Amino acid sequence: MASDDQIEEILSGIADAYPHLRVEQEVQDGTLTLAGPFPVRHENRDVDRFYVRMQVPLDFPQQWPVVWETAGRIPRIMDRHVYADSGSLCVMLPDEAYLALSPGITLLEYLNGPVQNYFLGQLCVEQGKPWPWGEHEHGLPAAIKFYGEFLALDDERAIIAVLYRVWEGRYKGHWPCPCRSGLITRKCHGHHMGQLRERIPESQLTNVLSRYAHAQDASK
Amino acid sequence: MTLTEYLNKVLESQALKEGSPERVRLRQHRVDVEKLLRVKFPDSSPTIKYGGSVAKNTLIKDAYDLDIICYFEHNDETPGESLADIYHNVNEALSTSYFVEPKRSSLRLKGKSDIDYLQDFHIDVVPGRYTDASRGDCYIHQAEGEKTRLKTNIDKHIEHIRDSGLTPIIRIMKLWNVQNGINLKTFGMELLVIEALKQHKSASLGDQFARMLTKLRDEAYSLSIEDPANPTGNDLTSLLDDGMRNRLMSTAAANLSQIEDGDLTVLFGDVVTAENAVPLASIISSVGDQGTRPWASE
Repeated sequence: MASDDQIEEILSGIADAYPHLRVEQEVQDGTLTLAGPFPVRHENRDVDRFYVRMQVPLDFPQQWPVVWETAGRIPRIMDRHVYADSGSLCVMLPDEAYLALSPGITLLEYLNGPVQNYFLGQLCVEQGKPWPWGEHEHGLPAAIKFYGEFLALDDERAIIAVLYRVWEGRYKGHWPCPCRSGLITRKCHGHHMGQLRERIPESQLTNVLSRYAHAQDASK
Repeated sequence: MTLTEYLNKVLESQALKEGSPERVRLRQHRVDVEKLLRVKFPDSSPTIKYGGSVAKNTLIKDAYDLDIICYFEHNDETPGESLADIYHNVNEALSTSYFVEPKRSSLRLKGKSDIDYLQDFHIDVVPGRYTDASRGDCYIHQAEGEKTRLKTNIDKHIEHIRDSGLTPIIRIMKLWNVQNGINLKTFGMELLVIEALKQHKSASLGDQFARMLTKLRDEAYSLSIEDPANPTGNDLTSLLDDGMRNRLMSTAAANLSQIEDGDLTVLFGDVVTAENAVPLASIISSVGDQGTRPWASE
């Protein structure tokens, strides 16, 4: 059962910054639902407005909010970074969010950062321009590519091998690095593995690895 | 800035001018919808025309809906024997090109193709049949509720709203309705405004807005509205259930406090017009390397 303090902490600053975002539903299934107009801002002035609904998990930022655009302004297609089936928005690659965003990020900071950027991107696309800061590919390839960039690895098997060791939690500095560079872990990817171990929830790594395994099975 | 000045700027920012991308798209969809219906019903001569906020001059950008009425002649059974049949057959015709979302009496059109899947086109098609040769009153199907048909008169509705002398404040209250998540049916809000302000048509916009909010705050539980086209036959009391009245009252009360505090931009946010719009490129460059990349799963 969520406490009032817990909810108040999550919603801290939201009412002032986004006065029309209202609590549509109190805690249900471990989430709080907010809905209303979401202004896209520049230097504290509104530039445009999208209407949204968002389910905020009470353990935010262990899990990320699920956001929907409710006025039907954005087509429900992957190229616009909207899940076709559920209609929810793909604000940011979850894995990147865990690494790039501060571990103690507040909901207000998340709205002011990734969510604002997402809608800024949509405004650009509406005007026929590309996504301003690039875009990830779709699905599992995006996650693998992201980890590859983070680990400076191109070989998919090496990437997965490193992720697997992080997930297992079984690695030591003097062991051979799982990327098979021939170096020991502490002189190779040890630091990165430590960061992943610290910042990426086990459930997220499980998600990536199991999807990879399924994809491998399917290709046989 | 006075309340009236602020509200006038809000209205300006909500204008959907002729020639704007939204109006051009709406016009094209109207043409497409008419074509679909005339092909589907070649032996009928339905009246196909704008209803809703376009005809009433109450369009707002944040929540615009185009009503396209499709009324068949009173003695024409080609499109369907019953109103339900007509509703179904019109649905079928539109489904060839649109994703159709059935509503109580209308059919909402959304995208069906790979590039606009489920994008809301803000169009409701309302099928119906005239009651007689005068083409005044009309029956429309009701897919929900106790009654399966409703008698109405679109021209009377349009005239009542368009000629009320209150369309600017109606537009403001429509925006208020959607921004605050009140979710009162637009028609209900239009009638509330006309009833509340019929003696104050020459007042300033700010004065009208304050009067409207005061009425909602102080008299929420005694408000009533009537369908001008069918006051005895079309019961609108369900639009104002207790939950709705409470939302109207509490939101109005909060806004009146904000007005008294001089906090106008909290009402409808900053006003973005063509003159003060910031180029997107400037905004993007100001975000710089804090920009994030979106993603999508399979």
